[in-house]
Amino acid sequence: MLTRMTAPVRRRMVWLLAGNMGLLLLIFACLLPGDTVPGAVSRLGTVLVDTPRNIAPEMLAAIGLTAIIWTGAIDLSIGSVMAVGGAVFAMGYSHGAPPLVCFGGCLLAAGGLVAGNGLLARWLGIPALIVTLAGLAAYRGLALVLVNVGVPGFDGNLTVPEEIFRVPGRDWAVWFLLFAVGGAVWCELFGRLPRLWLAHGSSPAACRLHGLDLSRLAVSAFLFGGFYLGLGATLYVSNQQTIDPARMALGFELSVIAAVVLGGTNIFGGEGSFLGTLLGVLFLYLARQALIYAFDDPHARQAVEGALILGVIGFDCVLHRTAHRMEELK
Amino acid sequence: MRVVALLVLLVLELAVFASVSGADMSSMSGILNYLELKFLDLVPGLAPVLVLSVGMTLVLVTAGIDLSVGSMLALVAAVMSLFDGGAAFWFTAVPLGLVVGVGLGLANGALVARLDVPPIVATLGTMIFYRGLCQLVMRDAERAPFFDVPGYEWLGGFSGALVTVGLVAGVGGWFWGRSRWRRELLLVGGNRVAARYAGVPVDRRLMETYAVMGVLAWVAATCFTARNGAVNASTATGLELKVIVAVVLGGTRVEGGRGSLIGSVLGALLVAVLDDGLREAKGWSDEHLPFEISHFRYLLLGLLLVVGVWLNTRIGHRDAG
Repeated sequence: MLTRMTAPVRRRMVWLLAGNMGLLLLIFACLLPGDTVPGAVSRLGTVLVDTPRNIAPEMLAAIGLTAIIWTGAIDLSIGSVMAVGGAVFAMGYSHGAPPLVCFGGCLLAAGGLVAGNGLLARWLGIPALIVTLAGLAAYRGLALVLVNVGVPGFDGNLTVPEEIFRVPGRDWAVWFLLFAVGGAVWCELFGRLPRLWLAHGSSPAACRLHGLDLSRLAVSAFLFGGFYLGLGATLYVSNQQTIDPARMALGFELSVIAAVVLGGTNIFGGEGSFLGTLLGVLFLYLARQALIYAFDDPHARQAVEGALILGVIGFDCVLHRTAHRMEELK
Repeated sequence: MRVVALLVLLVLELAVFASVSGADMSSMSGILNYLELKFLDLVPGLAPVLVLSVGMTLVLVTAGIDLSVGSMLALVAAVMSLFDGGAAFWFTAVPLGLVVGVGLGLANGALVARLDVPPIVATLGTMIFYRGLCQLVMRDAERAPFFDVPGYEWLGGFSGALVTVGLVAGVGGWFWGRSRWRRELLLVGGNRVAARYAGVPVDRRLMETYAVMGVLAWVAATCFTARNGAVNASTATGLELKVIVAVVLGGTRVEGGRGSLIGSVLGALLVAVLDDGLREAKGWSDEHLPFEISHFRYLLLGLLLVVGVWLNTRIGHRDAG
């Protein structure tokens, strides 16, 4: 399987594995001062057990975004798309719809909007970047309008106390993750489309000469991304006890982009792997946990997290620039 | 042509919102009275968007984008608010704000020019990072030392805002129309490889452009604090989209290589009238619409951005053809 990945992606995965181990050790070291060794081990175990549930939405969204970035496009609106998913869920819930209908509506709305971004970019002939930048604001507004219109007596947020609505995000998150990540990796290994998406991002001109329909390829990546982002939105909403479309998933897009880039996917397209993305999401999650134990001040935490993400993206771009220059020299 | 179309749109917008707000439009004096009141109220509030749209035009011309302008403005204002009001504010807080603005702009420029991070990703990152720094500075507090500074409030009034905007747009326009810098920026945005072959120091020009954006964020922060008098951690959230929509509607291409300062100023006016009109139409919307009209503003801004870029692309294709 690894032979199908480029050497930089393979190297990145090794580094990420080592980094994740290092972060686990760091968290353990942060836990030790206030606890005994068995106590710290037990708390570290709790962190690990909670990990799949906590990273599931980000992981699924990151896999969807990876496919989109492979083609050289990007979706900046995923945080707002999640808010629309949450708004549709809230509408269903407030009208007494069963959980399946609420979650189905959330999945369809979020997935449909992402796929719609791809279609809109294709029809209008403008970059997906601009369509999704517009979506970043427009979908947030749409979510607010939807809850205003569809949720009777809505006063800023909606509390969902029933336990049944938290089952997918809490109890089934591991299974969702296993099937979704397994499916994506299988698709990457044996499917034709992921290879074509990579080819599209690597050299659109060569693909055109080969007779490939580029806009169709881009739309198929957005459809794939829409499905995964829809699943991610469903789990995200299921994890929340209150639905607040104005603040829901604010800044989510940046942490997902950072995880994808950290996982070895080239931000300009044409290179990457789903497994790398998985490790990237895990790295950022563990780094966040380490920050929680290292910094008591939540205000400082956000600034440090922002700096960390920026540093990761900057470092990745420097690596790509260096590799590109070395190739030119050769 | 674009300028005429924008002016017509502006007049239409004013007419629609005047009728919705119930203003007396039956006589010429009523119309003039409405326009006078409108612009007296609009210009001071619009000053930050107008100032930033001048800088955003430069950034977009180089095929870049700056999503961090709102956070930059908030951080500069937050740093300035750490000082006590008084005459010394002019010699301490105001210059420090300028230094912070230039520093933040240079940091964006370094990410884009030196590290090769795509501008949209770099500035999306700094948007969140600068906002995090702003929260670190402000905590959950709101500070308001600005109205205690002698002469500072004048900048937030109609005449102060008009002078500031006039200076920025006038000096910027004069420099934009005559300088070699402008041609080099257009070349950098139009074709970076060609710019390098033509001997243009591309990285340096990009750094300068983002630094200018930082300076203008400081000017905008001064206008904002002089009008509002207070700052908190969520100040100017969402401002970046208004600025980008204004510049794109004004005819600047997001792919770079073409831009118009007059267009951007008119685009900013259009966005401001829309924003203000939607706020004024609240009474009407509460009666006639099932949702809050302020939420509809985000939808409209997104739609305007797509339409503006689409129009610019179409015009670009027609010109090329």
